[in-house]
Amino acid sequence: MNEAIVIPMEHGLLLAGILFLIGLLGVLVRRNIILILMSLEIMLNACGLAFIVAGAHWGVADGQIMFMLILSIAAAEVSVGLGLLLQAHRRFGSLDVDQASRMQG
Amino acid sequence: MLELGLFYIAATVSLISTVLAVTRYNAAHALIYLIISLLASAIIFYLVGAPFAAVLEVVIYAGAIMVLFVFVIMLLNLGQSGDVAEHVLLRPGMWIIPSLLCVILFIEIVYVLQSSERLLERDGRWTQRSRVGTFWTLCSGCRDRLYAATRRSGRRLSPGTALFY
Repeated sequence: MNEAIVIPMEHGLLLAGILFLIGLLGVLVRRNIILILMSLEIMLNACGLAFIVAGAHWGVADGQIMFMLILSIAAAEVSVGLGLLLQAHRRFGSLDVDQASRMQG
Repeated sequence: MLELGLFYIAATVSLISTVLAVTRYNAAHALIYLIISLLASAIIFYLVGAPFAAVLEVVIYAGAIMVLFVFVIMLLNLGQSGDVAEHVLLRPGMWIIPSLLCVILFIEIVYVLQSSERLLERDGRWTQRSRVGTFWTLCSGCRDRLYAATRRSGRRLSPGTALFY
């Protein structure tokens, strides 16, 4: 791309903020563990988008480095989360988080 | 100018597919919309000038991570089971009053930020102001304060910091 900085940063950051909010609402509203994990992915992706847009605006590569960090964090988080999800499905018989809301004390 | 149009199209696709992904009852359908959203983000990365990040987004996010999700959904054989409680939670009647209150608070904070911007302009202390928005005003305000503090302390700006100004 020869003209890469034509996109206004405010709009990119606004998009990232809206995506983050949608993900946050998904985490708060949904009761299915798979969908909660997917909403977490949306939030992480919005963070990466904000980093890359800001990095492109200032012309530094730090944003993309942070994006790679976020990417690896997301991959690790998803593998751990899906492992927990399999265990929860085996124990509670469903993917509803409200099933796991009571401690055995 | 064409890139700008492409950016807005990709942003719209990303927003719509993300909203659809969060509101689906069926996990597999939500997954498909989420993949579309990630592909739209990859296009935005490419347009902004980060082609390697775009490739990583497609390969790792839409490839590897989503395959993990597909694997688990197929492993658990999730059909129409579960999520009866969500039908109650996702009913619009539950959300009207909280959303209304949130909108009121949002209007208030926009008003406060804009009036503070007006105060700053009347004050005339900060030289760099923007016409675009309150968020950028906050950012440039912090930046100017940082810059003034650095100048006061008499230190030289490192090349990395100098890029910010």
